[in-house]
Amino acid sequence: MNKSEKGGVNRVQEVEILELFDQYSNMVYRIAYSYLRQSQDAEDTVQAVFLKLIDGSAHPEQGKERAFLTRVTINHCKNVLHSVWKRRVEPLDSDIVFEQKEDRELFNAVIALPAKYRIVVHLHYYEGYTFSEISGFLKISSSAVSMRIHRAKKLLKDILREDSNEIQLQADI
Amino acid sequence: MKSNYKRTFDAVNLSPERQNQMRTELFSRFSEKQKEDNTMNIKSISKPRKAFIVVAAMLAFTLLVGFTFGNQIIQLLGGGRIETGTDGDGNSYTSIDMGFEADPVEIRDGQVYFVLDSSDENITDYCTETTYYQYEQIADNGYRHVVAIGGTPDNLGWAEFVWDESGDFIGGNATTNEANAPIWLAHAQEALGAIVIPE
Repeated sequence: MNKSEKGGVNRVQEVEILELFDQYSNMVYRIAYSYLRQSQDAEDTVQAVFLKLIDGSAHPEQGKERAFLTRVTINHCKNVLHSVWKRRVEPLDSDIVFEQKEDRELFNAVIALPAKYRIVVHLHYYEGYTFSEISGFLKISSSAVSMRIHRAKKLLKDILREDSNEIQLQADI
Repeated sequence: MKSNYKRTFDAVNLSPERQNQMRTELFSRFSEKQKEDNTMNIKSISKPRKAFIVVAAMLAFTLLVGFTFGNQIIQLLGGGRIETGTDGDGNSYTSIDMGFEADPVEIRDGQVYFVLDSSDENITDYCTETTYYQYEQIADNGYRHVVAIGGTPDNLGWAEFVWDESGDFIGGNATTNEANAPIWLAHAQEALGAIVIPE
């Protein structure tokens, strides 16, 4: 997508941005949700990311829109997590409807992970990015990505095992 | 793991209604952007080129707030306001108007003038990449508002922080043309204690 001479967007770019929104808004939302754990913050991120395109402050190269939007989303989420204007109260959303009971348990376990693990897990297991690509997004080494994935999987197993034990305990009672 | 994870997070979606609403908002933003571009073209005739570039950049990056507390409206010195509360369905909401309706400073001949309080004070020497000018006011409700202006004349930014009458930090907003918080802003937050500890 090319920037217009005035710094804003022209009619063709307007159509392109709306097409990008239709194609990638849920991807941006899911990445933001997995990072920020709150639907309102994730929605704000979707708006912020696409407003950058409209305002002309961000320009994806043709054919690299997905990776570009992923990077802009991650940078925005990092700012939200570490900035003064981060929401002070973070209630977790519970109105998501899952297909299976196990999905809810896995979701709760993932959301309970620290942010640095949540994001690598999501980028790798949902978006299918390689360790090398994730290292580029997060500006950490590929081995650090690998390490975080490994630790995240271990933590997930621990959390899911604890939940399973609790459920078993309740059943015994 | 991969298939389970994918199926689980397939359920995490924007609702179609919300997606349509956001799409509509984006569409209307195109029209606003066209108006802004036209306005900036007019401004560029009467303002120094440097000032115009600053204005254009500022509009590109406006970072907003995270006020979250009881039902109330806080009027910001910058002209915007924050409204938080609970709607009829019991859902909490935060409505945020733009923090600064007008620039709190003017740039003339490379000098920065503070115009929020009409003082027209030359604050150029206070504003660098690492330092900032500070303006403070106590509102009628006892809330303390601090406006910080930092950066260089060609890369200025500003922020407003609010504390309640008990001295508890409520939150703040900032307008800057940088993706990450600039150094002067970090210094202002640290010096003022306007920091929310990240997880």
